[in-house]
Amino acid sequence: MSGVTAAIDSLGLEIIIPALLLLVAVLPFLLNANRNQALGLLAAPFLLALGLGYLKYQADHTAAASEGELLRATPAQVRLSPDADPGNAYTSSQTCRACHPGEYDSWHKSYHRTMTQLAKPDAVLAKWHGTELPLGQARLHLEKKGDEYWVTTVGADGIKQAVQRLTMTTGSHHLQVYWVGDKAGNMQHPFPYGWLIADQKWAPVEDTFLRSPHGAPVDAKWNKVCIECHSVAGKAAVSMTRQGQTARTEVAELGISCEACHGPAREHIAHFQNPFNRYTGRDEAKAAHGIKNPDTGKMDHRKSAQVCGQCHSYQFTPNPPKRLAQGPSFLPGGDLNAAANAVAVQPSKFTGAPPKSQAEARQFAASHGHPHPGGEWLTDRFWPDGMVRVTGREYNGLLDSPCFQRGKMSCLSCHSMHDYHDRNDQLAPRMETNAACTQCHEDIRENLTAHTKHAANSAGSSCYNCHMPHTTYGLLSAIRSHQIDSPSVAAQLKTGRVNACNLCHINQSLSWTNEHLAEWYKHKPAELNTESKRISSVLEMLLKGDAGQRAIAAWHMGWEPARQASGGDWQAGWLLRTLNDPYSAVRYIAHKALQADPRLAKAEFDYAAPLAKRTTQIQKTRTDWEKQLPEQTGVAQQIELLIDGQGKPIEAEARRLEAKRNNRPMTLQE
Amino acid sequence: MSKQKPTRRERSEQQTQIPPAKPAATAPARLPEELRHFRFGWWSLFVFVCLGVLLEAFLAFRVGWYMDTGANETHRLMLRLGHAHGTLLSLMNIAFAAGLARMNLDGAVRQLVSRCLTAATLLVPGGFILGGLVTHGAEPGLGIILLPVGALFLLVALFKLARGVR
Repeated sequence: MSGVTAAIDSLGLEIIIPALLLLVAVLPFLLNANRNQALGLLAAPFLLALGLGYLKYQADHTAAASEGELLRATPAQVRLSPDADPGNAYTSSQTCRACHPGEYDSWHKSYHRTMTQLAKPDAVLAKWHGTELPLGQARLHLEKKGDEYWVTTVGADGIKQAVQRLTMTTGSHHLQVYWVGDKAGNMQHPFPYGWLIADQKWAPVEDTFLRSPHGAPVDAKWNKVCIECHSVAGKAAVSMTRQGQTARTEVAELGISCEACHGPAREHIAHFQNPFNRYTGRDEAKAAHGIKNPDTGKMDHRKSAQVCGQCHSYQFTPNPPKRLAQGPSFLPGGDLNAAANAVAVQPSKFTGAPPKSQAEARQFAASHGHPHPGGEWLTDRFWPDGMVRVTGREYNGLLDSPCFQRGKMSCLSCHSMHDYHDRNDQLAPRMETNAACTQCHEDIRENLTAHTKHAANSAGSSCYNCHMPHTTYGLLSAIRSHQIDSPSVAAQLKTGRVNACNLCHINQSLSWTNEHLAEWYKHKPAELNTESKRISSVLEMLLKGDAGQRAIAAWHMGWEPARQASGGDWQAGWLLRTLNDPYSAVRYIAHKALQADPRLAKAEFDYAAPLAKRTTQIQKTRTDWEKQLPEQTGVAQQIELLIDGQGKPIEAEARRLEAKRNNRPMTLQE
Repeated sequence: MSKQKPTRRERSEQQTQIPPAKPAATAPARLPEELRHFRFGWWSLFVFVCLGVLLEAFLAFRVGWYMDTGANETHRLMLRLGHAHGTLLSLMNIAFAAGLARMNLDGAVRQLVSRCLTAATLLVPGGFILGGLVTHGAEPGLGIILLPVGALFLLVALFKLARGVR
């Protein structure tokens, strides 16, 4: 049938056949019509049909040419045709839709689908047309022409330096970044700005990650970096030519679609095209013929978690060029570490310094299955005890969780790809509540307050808040850790990761936590230095911590449960100071936290603007804030919060602690 | 002389005798449109039911050309609409033929309605089917142009029919 369709499309039959049918329909009317009537009968519908047809044909051809150009410039769906690659067992989500419309629909609404899209009107979220953005001395002029998105680089002298078409988009939830295709192949180069969806604002791509302000500009190619997780079965095929790097990248499908989790489906589809096989395959064991179902009822929880872990983990790649050429070889149901040409790292098993000699390196590789990834690689991505500190790598956290190690917990214990009630986190029904934990920990459900020591419906009785606090960073926010853990002062002293108690009781010091954990849970009190005994733990981290710690501390100052537990009228002064942080991501988070204070809800701050503009904005906000402060009434200063009686930060204390800040350049890039 | 009464058997035979046939009444002349629409209606019904069976087979065997609809459903929707409209219009042709003798339509009206109905039966489902065989993204193919033309013929037929019935 597709041959018939192609013939109609290509031979102009799309116009000729309707015209003939129209002729047949009007023929009877000609039998007793006079000459003029006959001519009118013949001419009018034909002229109408041809006129409309011509207009539509022109429009279609223009659209088709535009679409064809877009497809040629991207890796979109190159491998979908089995004629081009007989070994290709992937078929695309469209073929799944026919039999699984419900699952297709739930996937279609998810952010997984829209992770990578062709740059078309339904994909591009940014305010594009007419926007001007600075780029060094030059400027970028953005235009939308029909369904096409274009960017013109205009030099300081007003001369056009380049005119490029936008080809692909990444992300559709918090942030959207853009790619410009390469004329020589299908290499995707980054557009220098990203679109902050909630803010409806542009920001330089560098400022959408937590990166050192002195780091090199982002120049990651989609084909080399994003392809593995933002498409299905991608093969980068990047090579060096005289013109530089070129790509002949192939993917089964852009975005994360059905076959990323269920495996290639050609055999499954061929089998179930036969109605008899569909009838006999009604029982679940046979229904999965040729594909995998990561549901933990049907797959071991470890392998189920690996399906998500193929993307949601930090992996170490022993042979990057090979992986780049062939793509990851993991298929759902397989062993991630054995098949993926990479190893999901578990740094809790090797948090020590990198090997110092060849012999030590060999010994390390033999015992861990991969070489040591390097000290910096580890410290930028993991807390010193091996807990992952960047979001999107939840599988690394799960690996070290007792519920996974000793129980049967997998990602799908709480999340559901097809039965979620909110596409933000894709949690299964009721999994946003304590039911997530009490589905196994039944004893705690019965005696909740005895365990939590907090009121039953309070934030302190939420399992998530104590055992999965927001200690990972990503997407200009703090995100819940996916390593199930319990609050521990000792762990905080060892790692610098603020414990869950102090992330809610942000006005309390570690000695307060020490006392409560000792009293309630029989923890052995940890030895504390003078500052930790005296000063709010979160405030100490905001002043002394590294950029990642500062981001998390600032975020919690705006977190509503923390403001309710700790008061909401003392954070503004500290957050105003944090608007001067050298890391743009920390400034962004501090601004959002500042807006949680009703007095400063409308405070304007362009976190990525030049210093002069930022300083002016900070000064204005500070003035507005100070006008609303109470007069000095002799109220005692709050020493654990380092504020005076009026609520202003005690500058001398602030400077003293900032002098001890961990200024190690770091990158937390999800 | 007594008149002999007929026996019971003779009476019974007399009662069951078929009365002599009256001279045959002349059958009303069949209208030319009647036969034409019966033939056209049944044949087109056959064709559109065949199309329905074909679409069913595509569904049963999950034929990719029909089932893998891409990001839009236009392709399948057009073919299904073609099948449904074709079948209904075929039945309308049969009903028209069956009722023609009782409608007392004026000759010119009858001829016009017949031609319009025939044209509509070709163009409405034809437009849908041709529009579904080739699609341009979410838009149907050029054949869909036949649809409004066919719809116009159908409206004329129905209007003239409604006005002309006596």
